[in-house]
Amino acid sequence: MKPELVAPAGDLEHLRIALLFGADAVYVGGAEFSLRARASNFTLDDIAEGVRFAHGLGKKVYAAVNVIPTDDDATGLDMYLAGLAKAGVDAVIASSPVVLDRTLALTDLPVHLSTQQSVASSAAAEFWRSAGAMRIVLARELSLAELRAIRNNTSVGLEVFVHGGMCASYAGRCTISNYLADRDANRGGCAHSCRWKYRLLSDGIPVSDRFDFSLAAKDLEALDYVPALADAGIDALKIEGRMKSANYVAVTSRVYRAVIDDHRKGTLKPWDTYRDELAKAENRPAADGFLGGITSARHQLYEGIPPPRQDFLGHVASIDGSGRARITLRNPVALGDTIEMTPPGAPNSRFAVEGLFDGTGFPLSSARRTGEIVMIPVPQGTVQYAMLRKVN
Amino acid sequence: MRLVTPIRNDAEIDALKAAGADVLVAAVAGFSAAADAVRPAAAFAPLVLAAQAAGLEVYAAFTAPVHEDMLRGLAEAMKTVADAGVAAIVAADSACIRVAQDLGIAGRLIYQPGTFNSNRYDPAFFRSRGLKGVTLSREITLAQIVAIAENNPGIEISLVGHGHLPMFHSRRRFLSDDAEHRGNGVRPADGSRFALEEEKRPGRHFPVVEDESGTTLFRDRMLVSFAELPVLAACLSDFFLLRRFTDDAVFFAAIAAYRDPSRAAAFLAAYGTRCDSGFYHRKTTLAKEDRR
Repeated sequence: MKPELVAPAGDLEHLRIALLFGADAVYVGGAEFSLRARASNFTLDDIAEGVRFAHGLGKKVYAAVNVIPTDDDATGLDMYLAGLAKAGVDAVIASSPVVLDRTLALTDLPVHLSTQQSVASSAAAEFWRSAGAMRIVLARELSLAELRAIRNNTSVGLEVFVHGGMCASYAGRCTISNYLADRDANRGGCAHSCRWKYRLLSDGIPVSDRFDFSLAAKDLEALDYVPALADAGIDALKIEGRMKSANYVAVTSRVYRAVIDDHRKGTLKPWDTYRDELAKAENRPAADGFLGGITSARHQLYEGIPPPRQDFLGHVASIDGSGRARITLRNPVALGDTIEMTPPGAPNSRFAVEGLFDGTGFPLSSARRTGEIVMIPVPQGTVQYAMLRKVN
Repeated sequence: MRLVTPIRNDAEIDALKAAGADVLVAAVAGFSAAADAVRPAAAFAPLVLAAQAAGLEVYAAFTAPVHEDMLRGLAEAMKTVADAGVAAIVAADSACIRVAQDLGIAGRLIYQPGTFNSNRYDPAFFRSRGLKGVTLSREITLAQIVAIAENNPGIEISLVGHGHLPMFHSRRRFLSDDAEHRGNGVRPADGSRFALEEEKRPGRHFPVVEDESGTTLFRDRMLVSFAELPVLAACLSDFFLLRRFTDDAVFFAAIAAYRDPSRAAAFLAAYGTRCDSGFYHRKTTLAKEDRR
């Protein structure tokens, strides 16, 4: 069985990139009913446009309507769900009974139950299946053995996270952000309080002079579990990160696509081959989460989160008649830099920056400002959405 | 509105009754997460008999997240406590609903996930699945609680309204992991009481407990609901009290003050600096863009 690869998309551009780089489906959210409010700048028109693009490739778009609403938050929900149906999305991802039921009542859309419900057993999966869910995005606290057992005991579709950020708590059950920051994680405001600095006290006495106790989990990276998950009959593998960069979306989609396909063809390469490629995304330190069993110290971040790598320059937005790629700059670039280019569906290549211009065509020797439009001559055959990283 | 209080041993029955409890609750061993009071499923039958003799009811609580290898034992334990005559089974995981439906005891189930039950639709959803009741989310306001309860007359609505409420529960073993990381760190089995202090909140100590189900982090302040009690009493079926991190004397005084509101002022005079009103009057609406 070949599992579906589901990738995050924070905007239309990320949606196109995820699908072009290998995802079978993307999940998107609007600003009002999604848990990634800041990441979710999709209007219904955007979603409709994204759906047209995805369906043109034979791929799918899932709409995250995964807020756990209060009565106030639910205002406008029916109209929004009807809008999603009209936009043509392929499923709604729901956390709350009201979203699940209203989707089923008002539309013909399938409902996927969000990981926010932390479903960790076949009994819970069956409960939600009986309520109408077609697919369950399982809790991130499950081992491979548990996933296999759940698969054997329920017929509902199962989706499993394989990459990206991990909550410290069972998802959906956490109010630390409410209590410490007046921000509500179940309504799109998580302050990531689990990543703040704490120190442990034993009977009121600090164990350390430093605030060095870790609640922060390393990210999940489960490349080498993909074959087993596929063989177990898991229906979909999910990448976390609607707030991540285009490069992250492209690289993770491309690498997990390769592993899924290579496993199916029996042509898997040494894991370092995939990991070397995956390392080109802006990943935080990662481990295998709960897939190998109960986590230990090696799954925790004790030294803080290292700053993100700064080699991603941007992606090719367009190419003009003189062979210059238009790029919205993410990190500094200068004449003479060497760039590695990752195009969708083709091998990486490298070239030197032999010319650099601002958006009006004025020559530059370097550019540093994030968001600045620059033009760089690129090799013939370069395609739109190719990722550009500095490698010198 | 019934006052539901944890019972740690059968010898407390008379004292809890005298303080004003209506219902005694204990978690079921093997299915508890940082619970106040835990006992084996088989130990509920004698508790029910003793409680009934005192005019009290008993609830059995399954507070832990349910994983696949727990399912067989879960069904057996739920059947055991149901056969023992508990008035309700309090469950944190939706797996318990499915198991209760299969056992034909969903009508005794109170779904208490901690969060999730946050709007007026949710109780109706669970009522249609045959449940006895739902416990509302711990992060919604008093006005929201009232609106939900008033719009759901067909199902019992409850609230955890007193004590140090959990802030999160993780499957990770943070204390053990910390000990492993330090090499010479403290161990959760030391018998010590552990707490975390956040860098920018000096002096505020958040209790943390590790057990077989993982790690639970609690609020540093005790939620009290004396001021809100008249409103809550008019719309709730059950009012749950937590007693962890509370001396017995303080806990019994709290029950008495909920039973006899004239005692609330004395309670607050003695312990008020350790208390707050949670989210009753504080809607957490800040967004990501707002400053910490």
